[in-house]
Amino acid sequence: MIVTVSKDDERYLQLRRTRNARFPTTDADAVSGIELCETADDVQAALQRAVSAGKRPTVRSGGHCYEDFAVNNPGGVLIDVSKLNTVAAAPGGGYQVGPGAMLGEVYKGLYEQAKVNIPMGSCYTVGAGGHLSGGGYGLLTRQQGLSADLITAVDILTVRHNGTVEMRHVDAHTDPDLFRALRGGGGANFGVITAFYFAELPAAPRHLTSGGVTFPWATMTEDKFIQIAQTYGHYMATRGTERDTWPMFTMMALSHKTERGRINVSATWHDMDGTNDLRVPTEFLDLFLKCDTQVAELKDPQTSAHAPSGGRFQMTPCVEGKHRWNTKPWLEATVDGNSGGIKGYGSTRGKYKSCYMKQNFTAAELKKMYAWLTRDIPEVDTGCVISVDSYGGAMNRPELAHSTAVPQRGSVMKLQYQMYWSNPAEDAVRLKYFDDMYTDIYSANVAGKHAGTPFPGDYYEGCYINYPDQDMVRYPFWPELYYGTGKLYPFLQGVKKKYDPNNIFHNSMAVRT
Amino acid sequence: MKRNWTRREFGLGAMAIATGAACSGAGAAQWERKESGLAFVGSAPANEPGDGSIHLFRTAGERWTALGTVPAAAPAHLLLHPTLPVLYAVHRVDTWNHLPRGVVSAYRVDGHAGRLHLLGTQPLSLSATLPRHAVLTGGATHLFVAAEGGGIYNLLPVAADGSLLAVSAIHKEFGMEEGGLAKPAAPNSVALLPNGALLAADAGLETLTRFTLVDGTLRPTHRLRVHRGEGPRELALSPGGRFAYTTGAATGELRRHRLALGNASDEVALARRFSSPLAPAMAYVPDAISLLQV
Repeated sequence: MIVTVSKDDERYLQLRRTRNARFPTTDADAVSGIELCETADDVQAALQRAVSAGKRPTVRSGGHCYEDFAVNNPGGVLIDVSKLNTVAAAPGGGYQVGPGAMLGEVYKGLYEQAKVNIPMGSCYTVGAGGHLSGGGYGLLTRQQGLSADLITAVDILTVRHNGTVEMRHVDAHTDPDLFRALRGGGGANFGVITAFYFAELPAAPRHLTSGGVTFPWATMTEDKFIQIAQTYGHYMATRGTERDTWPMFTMMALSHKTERGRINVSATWHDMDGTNDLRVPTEFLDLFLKCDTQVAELKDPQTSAHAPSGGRFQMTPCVEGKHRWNTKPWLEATVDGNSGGIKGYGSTRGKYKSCYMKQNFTAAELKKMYAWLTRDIPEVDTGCVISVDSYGGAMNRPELAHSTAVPQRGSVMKLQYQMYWSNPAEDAVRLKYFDDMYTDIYSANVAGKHAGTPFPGDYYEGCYINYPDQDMVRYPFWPELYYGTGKLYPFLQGVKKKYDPNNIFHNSMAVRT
Repeated sequence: MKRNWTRREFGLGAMAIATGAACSGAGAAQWERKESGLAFVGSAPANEPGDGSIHLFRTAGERWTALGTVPAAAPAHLLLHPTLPVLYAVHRVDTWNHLPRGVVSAYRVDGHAGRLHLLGTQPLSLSATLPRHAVLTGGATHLFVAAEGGGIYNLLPVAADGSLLAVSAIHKEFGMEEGGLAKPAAPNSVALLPNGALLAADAGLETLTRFTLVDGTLRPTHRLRVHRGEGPRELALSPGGRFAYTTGAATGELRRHRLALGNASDEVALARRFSSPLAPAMAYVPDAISLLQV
């Protein structure tokens, strides 16, 4: 059954938005109504109704889109597929996941059914629809690949030239071009996905063990900052590419300087066979001993008992071979984080940017990062963070670039720039600061017309389409940042023309024809 | 029946289109006053989209005096507010501020000084690319824009001073399939009917479509297949609104359609090869249908 929520409905203001409170930008930008669907047939009917009425349809699954793609749709229709959240055995074998299933529900459902896993993200409430179609990555990507690498079929509603909505079941043999495009080409480009299928899935880990080291901003210097970051980057570009390290996920949180702030480096080990051998993460954390010998001398070292409230990782003093590890059963560790705003949409406003890195940081770019992370926006609690995630491993198999729509198969780190605030009056200064910071950092190693961006080259491999950043469309080459410099984007343009000839599904960063 | 106006003839006409050989498209409008007249000619260079201009002329009989030029993105169509000294320009671009959309502008006309002052520019909706034509609704409450590239119509409210507000309504067309062939929608010319409804010509759908405004939204209420196989390109109404005249998008054939309650019917061919695809617009003047192609 479809529940239609129009502007005169008291639910409208709550349901017209996503989790990023920046959108809709104004009342005039908002949709005219929301169609809450329960089944694929509902979605087909709602989509047909919108198309026949000349209204632009946009789609929401988990509501985590970083930009305005779903809810800035003046007078249009928002098709909500969050109730299409099936996680089940698929007819004929394998597994089926609905686009509205939250990642936490997918982890739980697949584990309970068959002790298997899709290597997805760490935010419980992110919806599978956007996450999987944009590539999807997370803590197990180095071990098991991208989420999209494992998809074997998709149910999708497309719109013909004559406006007729039709259901397609696409795979490597049926509409293989569309199937490839849906494996990382970005959500909402070609139609409305109603189910993903996976013929086989890897086993879920037994345990998840985390630990880390931390460095206070109070004693930070530029040299120390560079040493920490290059220690991390060097490992990921060298030892981190070796097979035995792939079960490890690492993160370095380069946070903006505050009086009591810290830069944290964490390691998460996935126990795949029950041995929970922690030699690899121990070896990794030991590398940071050289970065700050004073840490070992702290009278009250930060232990798991003193970890920041709500922190996922337990930071320990940097004593060689003696890290404080926190081990939990994998499912418990994965789904109880309450991450991603499970309590509701709230008032958080956010802006995000991304970068794939193919090698270690250079001193030049780290000097710029340090300068920006120690520079305040006047009268504003600047509060941003650059999350540096480990990358590569199983997802860096080159052949996958040709069977999916994710061309970045040579990176060793993936950066997510994040800024959060709640006061709308701060939008302009924050967005400018964030844009200026990013542009400056990516002018260190990139020259010429591509300066200011992580354009694919020796250092970088562009940006992640699931971390969309509308600032980038000012560059005529922005599709190359997200889809590479090869033939992928022209391929996606061809798919777009073929399966969405009316350009029904469009947004500011959609594939353009 | 007139064909291809000369510039001299254009100066005598109430409204027409003029363009230079180097232009891909252009729009023009003339603001008439008792003591003098102003004419506006837009030009949009084919090879430099976004680098167009609007030229101002003072007219006195057959004499045109150039007053100046205002930079403008790509003014493919110009029209005047019926009561306010405001000129609107429809810019035929496929990208505005890096997003896939067209744009429209409003200018205040200083008739005494012979100048244009930009009141504001409003982007069209996403995917509303390559807008080609527009008309003001009854009472000039809204600007109704046809975006050929995206197959979309946009409605923009007009403020009390004549400036344009953000897009308030969108109607996205889809294409047609026939005989194994498919065509995208391509709305390219619009007109205001005497009863307040809007008439639109779409070369892709090969239709004349009547739209009505209902609670601020655009609703197609009648469609007539015209110019089968090629679709209509230009559209002009007779002054009383009894007839709509259209030209074929490929052949340039001129056809007349009787209008009853705003619904088109009785398609009658009047002339073959009346226009060429390069002709940017058509207008009805007393005793003649004129199409400008310079």
